[in-house]
Amino acid sequence: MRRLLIQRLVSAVFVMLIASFLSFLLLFYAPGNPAETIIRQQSGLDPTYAEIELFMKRHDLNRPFLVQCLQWLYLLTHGKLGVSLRTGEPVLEEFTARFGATFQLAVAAMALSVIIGLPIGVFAATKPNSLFDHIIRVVSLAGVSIPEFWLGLMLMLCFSLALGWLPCFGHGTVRHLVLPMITLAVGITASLMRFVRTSMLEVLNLDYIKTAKAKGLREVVIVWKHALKNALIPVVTILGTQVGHLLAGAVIVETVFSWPGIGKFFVDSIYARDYPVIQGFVLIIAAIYVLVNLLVDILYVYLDPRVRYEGRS
Amino acid sequence: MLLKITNLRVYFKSADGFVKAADGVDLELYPGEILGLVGETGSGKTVLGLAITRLLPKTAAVSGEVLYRGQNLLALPEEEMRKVRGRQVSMIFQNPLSSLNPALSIGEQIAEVLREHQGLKRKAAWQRAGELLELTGIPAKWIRSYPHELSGGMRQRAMIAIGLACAPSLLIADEPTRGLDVTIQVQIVELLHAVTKGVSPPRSMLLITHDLGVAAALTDRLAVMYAGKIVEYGRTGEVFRNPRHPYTRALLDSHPSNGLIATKGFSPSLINLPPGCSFHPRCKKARKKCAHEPPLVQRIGMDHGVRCFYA
Repeated sequence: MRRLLIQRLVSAVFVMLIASFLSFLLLFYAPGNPAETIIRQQSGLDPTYAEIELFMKRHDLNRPFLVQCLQWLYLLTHGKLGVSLRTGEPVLEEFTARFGATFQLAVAAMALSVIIGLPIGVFAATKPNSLFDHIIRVVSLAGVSIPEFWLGLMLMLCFSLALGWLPCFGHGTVRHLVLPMITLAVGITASLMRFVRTSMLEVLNLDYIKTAKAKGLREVVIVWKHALKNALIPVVTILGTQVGHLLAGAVIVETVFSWPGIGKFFVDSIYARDYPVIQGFVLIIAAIYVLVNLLVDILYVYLDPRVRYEGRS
Repeated sequence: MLLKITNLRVYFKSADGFVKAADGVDLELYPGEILGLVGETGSGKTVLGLAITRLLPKTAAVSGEVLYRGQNLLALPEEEMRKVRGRQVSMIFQNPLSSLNPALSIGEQIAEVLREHQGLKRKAAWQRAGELLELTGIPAKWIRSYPHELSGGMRQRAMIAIGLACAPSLLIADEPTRGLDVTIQVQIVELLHAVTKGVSPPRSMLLITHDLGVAAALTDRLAVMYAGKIVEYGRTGEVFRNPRHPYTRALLDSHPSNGLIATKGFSPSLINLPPGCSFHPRCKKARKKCAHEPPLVQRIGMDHGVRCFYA
């Protein structure tokens, strides 16, 4: 286990470095200029050439690519992520102030997906090619294909504007959470259903399921204990990778519903070319991604007794 | 009589026609008796075992009668059948590595049967599971091990402990020694003997095997299966000494201790069985009649029957 942790931490460092380098590269060569956008935002006027030059110089933005890159790394080794060009606040503070809202949304969406997707996937697998199974196949295909921004707008139109049941945007109460949560959960639920179904179908054909039947166990025990415990192993891996999808989806959903999380702030920062924020957020998100997948690996040990990381080459 | 199988047919529908895995099987098993079902791979032995406990896939068409203590198992409602499985009739499968659940400890896999059928509480069930492990020769301290942590022989012992958990009157063991080292095979045979003949009253077992050595060591009576039919049955000693069906003779001759004489040809496809006697294309004694008239079982002695015109 310790070996695994060390391996993962080392690879995490590389993943984070590569992710930030690539985003740095993309941003550097992308058209647009933070000075223009930000000065316009702050003063409301089109900036002059001299103003832009001054802004660039003040923030070391006119240095060569590699120099800027190294500068940023130097700051990083001192535990600093820099300061937002737009708000003047430290990037880390901007992140922590908003991460709670995103975390809430992501966890709620993930929980909803598991609560709905898992049992449906299991039921579909116990009755393959039944009417229920066919309906679920169509529904999950639709769920995977529907883009989040469109779904979010449709839900708003239906439940906020037409029916008036739930608020359209904002943050604070559980009622505010419902629509964004559903929007974010639909895609994950749909793919989870399919993964669970496939994995269960595979397991239900194995020899030890026949043994369980020969023991006279109830169908419920065979499906939910003997089969599911094994079928979950690959599903957990998928859930780990879905976290990436979840964070990407959060960016869109937060923008649609004006949810005050990192996603929305991240998008605004990209429009404004707020380099330090983008860099910092990419770094933190990469770290979260690596961390979640490490958790998945640890969870594996509990799910699959055959996996013991000690003594593995 | 503990088990009486009459005219059992198991057909599977396939794209090319019906696969006749069991085609009119009659078998009798007395209390305390070990009956060996021998034959080569693909003769329908395993299907027969699964048909008794109704564990065949839904695609199988099963007809006939399987009387267990006078009750037709094939006609039982599923819920009633479930209560027979594991409590009255237990199965021991081949290849315990794939037949044991890799995600559950062996203790759990034994204890759950006791909790299901005997209503034991968790603690009592685990206590009993430990005793069952000891009984089958596994130290009780291994109760929390997972199947992959055990050796092949130990896994088969755990499998037997599961089968014995509710003290069933009938064990169906499907190739219990397959894939084990020879020395381990001997131990498993001894264990199977101890848990059947060594208990009082003795327990019945249907032993499905292609290993004639194992059959000779354990069984009281033998039934030889070929292409979905029983071609010869009788007391084990009698069949070994005086095999009457040409196939039984060929099977015995093919055993290494008898010179490893191969039978020419292959066992037939269960879809396109030869007309007449299924064995006639491979039979040295076959005559004209064998090719178009299916032979019936003839009794040729006390509890000895053979499905051949010229036995």
